[in-house]
Amino acid sequence: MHAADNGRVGAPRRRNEDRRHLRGQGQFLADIRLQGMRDAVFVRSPVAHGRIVSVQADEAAGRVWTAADLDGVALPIVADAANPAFRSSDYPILAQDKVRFVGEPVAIVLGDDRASAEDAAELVDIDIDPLPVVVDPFSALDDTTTRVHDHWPDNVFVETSADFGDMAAAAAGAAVSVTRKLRMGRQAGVPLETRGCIAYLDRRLDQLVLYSSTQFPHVIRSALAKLLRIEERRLRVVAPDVGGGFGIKNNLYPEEVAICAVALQAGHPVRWIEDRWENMVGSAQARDHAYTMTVHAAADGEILGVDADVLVDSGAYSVWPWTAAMEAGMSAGIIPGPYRIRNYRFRTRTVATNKTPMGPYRGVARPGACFAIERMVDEVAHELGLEPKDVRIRNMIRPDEFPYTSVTGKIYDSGDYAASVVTAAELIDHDAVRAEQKSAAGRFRVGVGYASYTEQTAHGAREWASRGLPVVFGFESATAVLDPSGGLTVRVGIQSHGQGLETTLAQVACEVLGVDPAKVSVVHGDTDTAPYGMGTFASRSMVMAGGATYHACRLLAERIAAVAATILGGEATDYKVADGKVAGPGGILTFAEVAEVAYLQMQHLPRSVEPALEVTYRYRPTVETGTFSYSTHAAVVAVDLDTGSIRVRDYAVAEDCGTIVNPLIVDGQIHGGVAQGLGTALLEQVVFDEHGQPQATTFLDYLLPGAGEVPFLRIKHLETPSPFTVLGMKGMGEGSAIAPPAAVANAVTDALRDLGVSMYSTPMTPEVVWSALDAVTGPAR
Amino acid sequence: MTMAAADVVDVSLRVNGTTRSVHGIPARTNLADLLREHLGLTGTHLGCEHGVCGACTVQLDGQPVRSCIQLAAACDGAEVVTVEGLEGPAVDALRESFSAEHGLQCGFCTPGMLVSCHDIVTRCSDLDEDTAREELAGNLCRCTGYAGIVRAVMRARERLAGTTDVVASSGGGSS
Amino acid sequence: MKPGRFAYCLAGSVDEALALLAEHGDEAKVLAGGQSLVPLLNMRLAQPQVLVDISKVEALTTTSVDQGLVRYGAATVHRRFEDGDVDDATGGLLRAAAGGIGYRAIRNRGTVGGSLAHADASAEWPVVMAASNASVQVRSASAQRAISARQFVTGFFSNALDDDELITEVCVPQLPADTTWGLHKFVRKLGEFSESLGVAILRWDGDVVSAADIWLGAARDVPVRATPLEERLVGTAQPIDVAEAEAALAGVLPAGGDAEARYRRHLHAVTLSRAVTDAITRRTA
Repeated sequence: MHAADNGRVGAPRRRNEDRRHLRGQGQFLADIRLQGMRDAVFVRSPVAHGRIVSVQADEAAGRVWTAADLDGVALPIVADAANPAFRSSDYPILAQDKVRFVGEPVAIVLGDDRASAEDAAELVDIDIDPLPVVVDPFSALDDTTTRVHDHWPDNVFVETSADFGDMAAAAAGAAVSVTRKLRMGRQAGVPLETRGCIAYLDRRLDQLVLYSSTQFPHVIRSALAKLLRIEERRLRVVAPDVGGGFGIKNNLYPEEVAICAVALQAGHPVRWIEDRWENMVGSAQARDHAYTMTVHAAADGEILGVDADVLVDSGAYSVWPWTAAMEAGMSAGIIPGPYRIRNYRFRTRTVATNKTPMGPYRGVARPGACFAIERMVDEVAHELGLEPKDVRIRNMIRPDEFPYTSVTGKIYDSGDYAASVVTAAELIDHDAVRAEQKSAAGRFRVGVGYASYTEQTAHGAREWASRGLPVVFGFESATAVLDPSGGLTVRVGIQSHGQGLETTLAQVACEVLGVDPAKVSVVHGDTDTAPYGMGTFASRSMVMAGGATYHACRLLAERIAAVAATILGGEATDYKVADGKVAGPGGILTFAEVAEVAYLQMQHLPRSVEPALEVTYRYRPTVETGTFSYSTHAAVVAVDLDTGSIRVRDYAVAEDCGTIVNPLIVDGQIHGGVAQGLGTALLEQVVFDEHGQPQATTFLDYLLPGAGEVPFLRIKHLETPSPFTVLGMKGMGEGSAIAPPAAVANAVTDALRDLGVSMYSTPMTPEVVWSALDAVTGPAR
Repeated sequence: MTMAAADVVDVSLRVNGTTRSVHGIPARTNLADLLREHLGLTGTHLGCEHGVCGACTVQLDGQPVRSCIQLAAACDGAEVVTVEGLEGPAVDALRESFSAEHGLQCGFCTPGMLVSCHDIVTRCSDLDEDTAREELAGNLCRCTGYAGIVRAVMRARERLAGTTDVVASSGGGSS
Repeated sequence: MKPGRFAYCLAGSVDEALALLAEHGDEAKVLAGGQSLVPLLNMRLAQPQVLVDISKVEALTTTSVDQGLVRYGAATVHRRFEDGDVDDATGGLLRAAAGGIGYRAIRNRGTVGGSLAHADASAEWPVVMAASNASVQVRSASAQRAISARQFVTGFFSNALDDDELITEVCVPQLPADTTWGLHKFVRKLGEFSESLGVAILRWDGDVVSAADIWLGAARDVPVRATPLEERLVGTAQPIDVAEAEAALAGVLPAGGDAEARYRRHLHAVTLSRAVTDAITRRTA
């Protein structure tokens, strides 16, 4: 059996990346050393809202950069949505007249090392006249006196609404109408590696070079060109090994612009490594949605109409390129979920508050939307006396209805949503849980809960354009090249930060060319060597970069065949590439033999056959409305009635992401996403006090799931290939973070409902659970 | 040993089997920065600098410790092993099983994870799932959800104990 | 997150350490394992001028047994209690408590003396040593004294030491034969600081409790003695259910407050109830 046989798409291939990481030979941002490099520290606002009176420093601090030093050097970040109602604001690189959240960068000092720079920062005194703060998003809605952005009439970034179908008829025809308020709490994304960047002038190449722990180096480069007003050809951005991103590293941050500006002026390399406190207050935060949901349903469980009010707390600024509008827009667009809902009405409002800006984080808005609709499905089921999982099945779009255009215009392409519910129920042994509940005794209660979702992945230009962002993420690039020795390198615009793309893209190449993936170099991250890429987010990489790689390799195969035909005689179309060789009527050649001629003996090539063997392909999906992965999660919980603790006793995932390139990696993404989802559900919480002071800024008080908090998952894959992506793949990197809060909340509600307690918010801390029990049953329990 | 307290210190210690001496470093330098900034051993990573995440874990005199809250000055004369210097059947088994079980994704937590797992598999004679999870509580991973790591450490332990034959893994590739 | 500047000195003996403390007074801090101190230094929440490293003073790492007391060197690391490398005066309580402190890597460096000096009322050692009625042996350059573990934590991260004093030993009375212990720690995730910590040491006379030491951590700024629960137990072998514990604690913990305070009082009642049950179960096991 050829080694490449277990390197193709579908093989549970060990990763190429492992070799270096298992030996500590990765190169993360903080591992890079440059001669003459000095460390920068940002002096950050200690208050949530105020006017800057002055920034003064003891001489011993050395040079201090403030907004004045960036005048004419760097423009502010402006992330406006296309919606004309969206309120514009500047996101300053360094705060100018006002500070708007605790942790906002105000000044920069340098030191020979980080400790010395922190010493210098202690000598910088920022005099701020405090202003009243806007912290609570509901208050932000009403408060027109205290405004985060002075030139706005209020604190609302944008309001949207839509009304589809006939809600009045739905309400009139309903057997039950259930209204609930739900809340998903604010949290941080917490990649284990914090952000960081290094900037320096490469005088040989006349380039400003920025190393940054980022998920989209090319787009950062394009943005920097505008903000620094440097020609883009004189900019280079490099993402080295990135220690987790999850969307948190998928924004253009003021720090990146600032460090570039300082490097331009300082004349030596400048490094900034975000410390963990900075990461907790200065990196984008996430979730923080409030919902009021009304669902009208018939007696048999059919959902007749959904009415949603969505409030998103976007913090102080609109992040680039997503804008503060995206979160609410995405939530409203997917609330109908995998269900056949034609009467749907929503109103969304996105407010500004004196908090850390919100940005996309794994799942992006859909965990909130899923929480809202999936909890309501259960609430409706309870009202009707039906099993929640059966209500799901009753309402799900059936396979014969695909492609199905949802009421919000999303085109669901393929799959079997109901099968995922049935499968999840089998995996979790639903009947056994029900039997166990019948004999419930003692101080624990057991419950089972489900959550289903369908997730738009790898959407293209048309979808992005409809969202009105400053950038449309419509394509991905891959360059496939055989070098003169016949070795294969694939240079891709996508950037890998844990997804294993150096392996899975090699597997795609192997699928086409038959080269052992261990012998394929996948190069990414450097804008000087990688073709233009749009970044790793939106569960797009496997489809987009995989599509680009696939087609580039196919075209490369044609070139190889053309050269082979020249050497061996006959028509190029009679030569086929397989197993790292090319064969046809004239014989067989290895890639090495073909490449030698193509580069070093190309005198044999006719003018019609191009020398060298290099092809670049830009993949633009044929269907740009995305391909939809879907899943049902099932959780079994045990609730300690005395302490309110929730233990996740069992967890199942029945998911469909189409053709699986590498099952090890797909399962790994599922485990990782569920772990983060359980963090959202049970542990993670960013809290601001009434003065806008963040309360959980270290790992001592911000609790992350550890090995003891995430069980093994029961996973089953339903592989329905996408009808229109290359090889039928769908994106799946985010999905498993979407459902856990809803699944766990449904399970806890299932456990405690008979005691009069239901869950409507995250995180479901022991205090929240116990207080709810206590409120119902009182002290004499 | 001098009685006078000093702002700068000289530290001489064995790192990965070689004696290394560093002169005139600030007393406040932690062991992680000594390794990373002064000795060029960047495999040990900093994730929090308050001793919680475990990314910085190294072996100090044979025991796993947090290098982010360990003063370099307090390591004079010590024996330190970092991920770059881990050798032997235990780490071989771990490297093999981590790759086979997909126990790493971005790789940032991996060095500290390996040092901790090396301690676990050499110290714990019985390693069921619950014990493994408890022992791993001190090393955070944000990518894997721990499944691959738990399986990897249990599999490595079994291999070391000789209770299972080494099974030919599915999928080839380098490990 | 790097510390401010400080000077470092490695003490070769207890006398050297004491001389340095006498010289530098409140500008110096003692460094044992650093697991509590160095995070504070990193966050610049503490900015001493001088660190006196006592981790290699042999006299501070030895353990001896002397007239019914086990004398633990102040710089004994938690791991040695956890692994049974030192005698356990309490027949297992010290070992169990040590094994729950943070993570293994922390336990390899953190010390019993350092933990006591850090005076965090939610940490194991302050509460367990109070329950065990241990005494903390303290020396300065000019004097020495013993401080009861029950008076050692004086307030929020505050201890009874003067600036020039050093803990040299923690002396724990060997528990008599007819004694059982119980320990219950409530955390939301493994390894974090306790949100509630209950320790119960029960002395038995036949089938009933003759004396009880029940202490609570993470409830106030100092470890709290749950005297009403102790009184309730004497003469019985009945576990204390949560409601009873809650009622008994009413006089011991501050009343009122918001919903969170209410939950915390309840949680402490649960922890103590479970610690007591744990101790009773050990009698009958």
